[in-house]
Amino acid sequence: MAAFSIRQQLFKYHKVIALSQGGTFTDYSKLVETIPAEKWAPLSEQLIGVILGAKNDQKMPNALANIILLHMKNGTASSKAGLLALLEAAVLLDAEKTVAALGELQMLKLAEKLVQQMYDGGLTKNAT
Amino acid sequence: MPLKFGIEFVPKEPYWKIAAYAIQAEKNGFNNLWITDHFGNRNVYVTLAAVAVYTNKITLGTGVTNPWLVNPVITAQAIGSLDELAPGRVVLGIGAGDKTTLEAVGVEMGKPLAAVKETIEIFRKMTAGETVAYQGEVFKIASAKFNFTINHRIPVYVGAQGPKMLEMAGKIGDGVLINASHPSDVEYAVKTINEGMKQAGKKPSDVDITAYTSFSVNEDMKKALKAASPVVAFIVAGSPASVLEKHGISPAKANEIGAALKAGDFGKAIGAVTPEMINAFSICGTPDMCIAHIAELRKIGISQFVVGSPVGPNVKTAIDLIGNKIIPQFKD
Repeated sequence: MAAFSIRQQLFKYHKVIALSQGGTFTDYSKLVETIPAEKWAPLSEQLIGVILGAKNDQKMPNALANIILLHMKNGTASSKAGLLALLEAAVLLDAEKTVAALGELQMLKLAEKLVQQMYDGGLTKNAT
Repeated sequence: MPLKFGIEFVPKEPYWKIAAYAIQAEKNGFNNLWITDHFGNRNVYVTLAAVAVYTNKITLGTGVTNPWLVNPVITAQAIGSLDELAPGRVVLGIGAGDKTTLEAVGVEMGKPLAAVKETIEIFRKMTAGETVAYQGEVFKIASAKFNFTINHRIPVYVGAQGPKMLEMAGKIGDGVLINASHPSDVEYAVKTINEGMKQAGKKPSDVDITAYTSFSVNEDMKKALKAASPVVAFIVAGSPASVLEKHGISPAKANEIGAALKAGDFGKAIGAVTPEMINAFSICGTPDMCIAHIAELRKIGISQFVVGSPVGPNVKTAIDLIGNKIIPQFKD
């Protein structure tokens, strides 16, 4: 129930930010759906590492930060909803390291999709 | 008794990073979390409030605040309000303050012992719900009382380094934060604290004796060392000659480091840090090396060990290392 509510909040957050800035709305959840369950926990750890190690931390929107903290507190950072928030933040703060982290976990298809969408401009317009 | 573990964070980083590390530290078995208080960084109470919201059981405190920049009544108000957010898991950490920092904002550090003692007295009365009328050497309160109730007795930890403050901390503190890493410094501090406790008729379990260290851990010794060096450079530059000489460090060398830091030449300052300096002012190395150091301090008589800045070259990795490899060694 709590996780569902967080997911709804995140979804709403994505849409409002993207649309208010005249951007396109890319649904990260489609990308997250492609992640195999056995990769959820290690990917979550990797993405948290990317976010905490990012130098340009002023780029982190506080609404997204609060959602991530709530997931970490509740132990749902490796759920689909948690990964959705982490992926969004990691791409925003350090796209290059995010792609590298996916590569390290042999998630090359997801990395490719991310790179593709970054070149298309979809992801960068999402929450920035 | 298991040794308690604490961790220090400096709010030069945004609240969400510190809260994320706090969640991780709590999950890794840390008991206490300390946030430093310096006007140049983000506010200590705002940071503690953020951490309080996202944690469940870790004990939170100022590491440490001072009597000069905030009136003791307001310090009590802030800590008391924090206790509402994190019921029963809040402590006050208070020390004399740093001379250089206070001078920068035009505050004179007169009578540090009296100021700390009086702050603690006012704090305890205010948080106990009393109407406070106080005539001290440093503080004078005409009549003050909170319009809200604080439901817990809040422990007070005294940050101390010099003999008089250490002794007073043993007498009146619920805990003492010893600002030292080297066994000989900690041994001297514990002995002095015990004197104060004896004078006050306290049992050893009445005071949480805490080594508040500069700490750096990594599986790769060189990386741990590299992370510790900048922090040690600042410690060396700020240490009095008597302390340096005790550890066989030349004050002239310390002055060189201080001059380089002042000139903004961090490379030169960090490059001048020697292994003797690292050994005197930090606990640094692989998990096994750190375990040996901590065991030595425990034998001396500490009941809490604080991993202070930098914690490690990668803070997230270091917290996991401490949780997985170090804390389990001190659970008995």
